[in-house]
Amino acid sequence: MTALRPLLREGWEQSKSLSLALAVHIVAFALIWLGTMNWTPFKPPQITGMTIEAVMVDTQALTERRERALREAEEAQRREAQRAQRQRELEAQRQREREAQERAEAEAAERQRQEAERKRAAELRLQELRKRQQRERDEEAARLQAQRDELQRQREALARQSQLEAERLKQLDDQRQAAAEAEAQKQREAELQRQLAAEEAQRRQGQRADLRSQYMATIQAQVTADWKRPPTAQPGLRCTLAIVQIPGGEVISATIRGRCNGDEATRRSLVAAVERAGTLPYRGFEEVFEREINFVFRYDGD
Amino acid sequence: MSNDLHVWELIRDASLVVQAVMALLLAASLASWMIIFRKRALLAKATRDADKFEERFWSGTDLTSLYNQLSRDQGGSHGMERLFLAGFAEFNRLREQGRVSPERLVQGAERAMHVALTRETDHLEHRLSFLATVGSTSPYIGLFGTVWGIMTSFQALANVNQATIAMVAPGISEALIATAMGLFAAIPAVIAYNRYSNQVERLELRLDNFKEEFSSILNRQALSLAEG
Repeated sequence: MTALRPLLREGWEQSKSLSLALAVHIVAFALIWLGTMNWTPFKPPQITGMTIEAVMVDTQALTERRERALREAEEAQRREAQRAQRQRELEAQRQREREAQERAEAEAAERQRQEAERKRAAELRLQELRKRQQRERDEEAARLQAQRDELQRQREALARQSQLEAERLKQLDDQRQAAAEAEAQKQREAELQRQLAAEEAQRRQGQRADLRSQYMATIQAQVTADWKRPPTAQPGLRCTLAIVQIPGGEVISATIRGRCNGDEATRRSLVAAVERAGTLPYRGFEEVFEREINFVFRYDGD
Repeated sequence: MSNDLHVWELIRDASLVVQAVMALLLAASLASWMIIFRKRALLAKATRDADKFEERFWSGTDLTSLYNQLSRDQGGSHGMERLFLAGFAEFNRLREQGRVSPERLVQGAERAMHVALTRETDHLEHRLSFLATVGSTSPYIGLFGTVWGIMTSFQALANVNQATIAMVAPGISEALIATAMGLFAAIPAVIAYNRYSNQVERLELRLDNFKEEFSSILNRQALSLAEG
């Protein structure tokens, strides 16, 4: 399984790069296709022969014959139309007389029927009216009763509800008070915690700063011990040395960097002193160890 | 319909030699793009790993514990890790033999690191030369296809009395597609080759630097061992 995994990964990377490459080509071809859309296709020029066939015809005779036939047909059509028109008018006259007679009979029958209908309707309406009045009275009585019941019920429900409301209000009040107290307590605790944390951080910071200044002092002591002071070195000397070291404190290189108020001989002697020291303090200072340190050398006279 | 397919029609109607040239160029282009994507991922990973390792190495950890940690995780180390492991392993082996002079100790470690560096370089440069080959030869291959296509289309002119430009134009146009494809394959390959060979060079320089620094550290350690 472990031997298979690199092979599998190799295959996966291979196929991934293949699909990426394919995608690049597809995009490129699509662009080319779009770019050449409006090209006209190449067609070899085609030359095709044309043949025209013609027959000579006497047009004059042809037209006369056609016109005569047309005129005869029109004449026959007009005569036929006149006869049909007369026939239709006669038919219509007879139809109108028959309709007038039928209408008069129908009207007489209709009048009798309407009279009977009216009488029956008046009787029915009277009965209906009486019945309706009775029903309305009954309904009115029932409705009033229902209203009274409803009012009674509402009054009772209201009383119950107001009692419940009062209880709930009291409960809520208690809860709110408890919550407020808990919140205040929590805030006080958080505040305390924060203060503790801040103090702790400050203390650690201070420790680190202490350790760092101690580290610098140790370096100062060590370099001073290895320093062969040239006669030109004046008290009040301040020189910044950039020292590159490796874990364990071994010095890789030392150079003067930045401000230095000593002369050339002093500078050289300082670099030599660091190189002579060879190893800077390391045990106990791992926490503040840095690969490159800038170290200010001080000399204020013996 | 014919208006939509004109480019494909040109390719389809091309002579066999021109079609073969086009297929070859397409394959070369695909292969070079594959290598471009793979190299890109590889180089990015190598740079990232080198950054990570350098930070870890110079953060002030103990070398022996770093060695133990690194040799424990399986699955082939690369780059600086590999250099460090090779050098430190050789150093320890020689030291355990005892009675070996400090110079020999450091020389042995340096030799082991040199071998690892050569392997690493080979791994990084692998297949980069293919890109150079595609970049320099595919324009010529495309040009060959074009010349061949133009030759055949002029051949067709020889048999007619009244020659028109319309008789040779399609042939020349189809032949020129081969040149276009050659350039299409060559340009990305050349760009990628230049870019990646520069990146590989810089990575190699970085590895070499690390090798020097590490052997100076080993040198100090060997000397202090000899004194102590």
